Amino acid sequence: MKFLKQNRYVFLLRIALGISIIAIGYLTTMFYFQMKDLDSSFQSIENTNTTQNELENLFSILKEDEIKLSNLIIADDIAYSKGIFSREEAASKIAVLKELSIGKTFFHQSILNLESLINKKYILFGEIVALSKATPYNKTAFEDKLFENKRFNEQLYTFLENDVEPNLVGLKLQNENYAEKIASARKTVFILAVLSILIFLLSYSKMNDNMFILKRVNDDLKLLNETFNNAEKIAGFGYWKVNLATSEYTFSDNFYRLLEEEPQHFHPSFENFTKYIHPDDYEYVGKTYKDSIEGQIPTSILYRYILPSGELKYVISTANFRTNNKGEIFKIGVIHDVTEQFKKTFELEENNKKLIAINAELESFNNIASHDLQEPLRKIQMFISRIEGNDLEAMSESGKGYFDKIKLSANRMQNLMIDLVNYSRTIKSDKVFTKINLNGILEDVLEELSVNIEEIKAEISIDELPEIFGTKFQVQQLFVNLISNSLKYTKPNTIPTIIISTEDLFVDDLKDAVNEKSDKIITNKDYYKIIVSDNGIGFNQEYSQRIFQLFRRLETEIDYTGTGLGLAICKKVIENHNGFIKAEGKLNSGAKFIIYLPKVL
Amino acid sequence: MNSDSSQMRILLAEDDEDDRLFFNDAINELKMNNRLTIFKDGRDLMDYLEHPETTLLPHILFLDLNMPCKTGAECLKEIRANPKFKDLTIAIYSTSSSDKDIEETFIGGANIYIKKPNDFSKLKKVIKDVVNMNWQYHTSGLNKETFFLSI
Repeated sequence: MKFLKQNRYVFLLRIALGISIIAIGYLTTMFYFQMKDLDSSFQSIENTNTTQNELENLFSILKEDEIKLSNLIIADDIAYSKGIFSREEAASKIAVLKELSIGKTFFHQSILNLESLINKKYILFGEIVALSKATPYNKTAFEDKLFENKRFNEQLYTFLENDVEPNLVGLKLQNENYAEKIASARKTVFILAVLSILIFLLSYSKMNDNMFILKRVNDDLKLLNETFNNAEKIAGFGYWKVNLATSEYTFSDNFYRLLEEEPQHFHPSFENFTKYIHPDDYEYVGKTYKDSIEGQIPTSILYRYILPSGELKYVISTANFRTNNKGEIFKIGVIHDVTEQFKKTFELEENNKKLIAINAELESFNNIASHDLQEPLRKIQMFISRIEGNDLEAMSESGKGYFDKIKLSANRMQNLMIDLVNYSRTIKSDKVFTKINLNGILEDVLEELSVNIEEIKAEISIDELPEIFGTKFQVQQLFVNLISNSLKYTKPNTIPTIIISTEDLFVDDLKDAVNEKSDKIITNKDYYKIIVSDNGIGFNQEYSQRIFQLFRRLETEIDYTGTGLGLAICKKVIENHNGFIKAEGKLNSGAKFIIYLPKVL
Repeated sequence: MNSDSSQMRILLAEDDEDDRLFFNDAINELKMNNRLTIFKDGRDLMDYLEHPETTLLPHILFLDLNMPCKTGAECLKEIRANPKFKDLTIAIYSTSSSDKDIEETFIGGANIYIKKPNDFSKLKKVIKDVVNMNWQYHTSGLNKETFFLSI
């Protein structure tokens, strides 16, 4: 299954988050300063407006006072003159203006100048009033003063125009980018909002994605877990692990089931678990476990459970060590129920013992056949030869006939027993192979059969034969049997001829082979091919398999003596030597036995 | 039976009555100048051989392997352990032709191994061959192949 490529995603997300936080932080700070700026701009706008108002008020007071002065002069009412001017009011306006102008150096200076001018003005007012009421009245001085007043007014307005107004205009100009600032703040807010929404959307989509993947992975894990649990159940194994740092154990569900308990029936711990171990195995399991933990050695041990039901169970426990990404070491193990296998092995062992016993019995039977049975038979034959030597003549004709039959039967029995012994010797063959020269073997064989060969005056020709690997007495037995077979089944009135030859180049199949019928092609690359052929009575090809079976003799052989074991022995010997044998025959025109023996063992 | 010192003195240790009969008949029919003494088991044989009165030592001993009381193999071991019988020719005369028996008696110091024949004429031939064998010559060239007498 596919797991999340967590690292890459997390890294990218972290970068995105970092960038977003920096961006939002930057924008927020910017916005804050913009707002602060706007605030101060707003203040100064208000200031400027108030300043203008106050200035206008101040000058309107001055104008009023000018008018009042004119009225006073015209009305000539001195009493009226007392407290007529709004000097206090003007002073308070100046004070307000002074306050408003704090922090604006040039403007403040202008206001201070203005204050002194206003003060001068009121001094002038006082002087004019005083001159107008003076006795004697000095008309020239009065007119001069009026003129001075008029000049001063011009001076005052010039000052207002040149000094105060420009400052005010400057302040106004300064405040004109207020709108601009509001626009830029609006922009910032907009970008901030867009960015936030963007981040939110992005996060949401990412989260959604992750949730989806997590769900899928979770489903997969669930399925895997189920599969694992099922597999555990079916395969009969239980899983456990222990965190070596915390000594915390985890047992799988089937771990409990193997103990014939409900899943998670008891708290997973070594002590709780060992209660189920067979008392004889308890110490060994505990020691192995302890040693393995100390040396961190992987373990694989076989022991027994005694279950609550009293049933005995054989388990194999295999465990190894793992380190997780936190650096904690775990011992993880699997317990496998091998009771069935163990029982089967036990049964097999029992059967094996039985087989060995049977084999031993067969062997002793074989000894009986070869020695104890041969002993009385030998005596029978001995007595036969005694009668033959001394008393045969005294016998009646029918007695002689019976006697011949006794002799034939005894001989046949002897042959049978010899073949049986030989056959059993090929069965319990201990494969000690040596290099043997086939020509040498055949010399011995002809020597062994010399009496029979001479008796029927058989002609035997032997090619140059290869050296093979084999058990000497068995290979010798093989050729003895094949050649005696040819010597036995001869055709009357024909000189028996036996040819033992080999073929250097051949490509043959095993379709007709006796001991392994297959389409397999064998060639001179891997095998020697040796042919024993004769000009005897042969056999019908359809019997080519049957003649190799134990005690199987053909109808045509009734007139011939044979035990039915000779070719079975041949087949066995060839099998023991990992070779193949096949027979080809044609009734009344000879038999051909083809042997394939491997060149390399 | 004569007790001529020039006679070939032959001993047979054989527990089977029939085999003793065959052997005796064969020796008689061979009409050789010999004297056959027959024992029913190994103990009888050894008692005779070790008896102080036995002064004329036998020439050839035909020894069956499978006998009660004392087996042929045990007799062979005791005889070969006694330097007094160093010139005694021992012919194992047994039904068995197992490689194990042949090997063991060859190593034990027997001179020849005869498998009991199943034909009376063959038996006669075997006895004749063994009695007339030039033992000095045979023993000098003795090996496992010549040890087993093939009939």
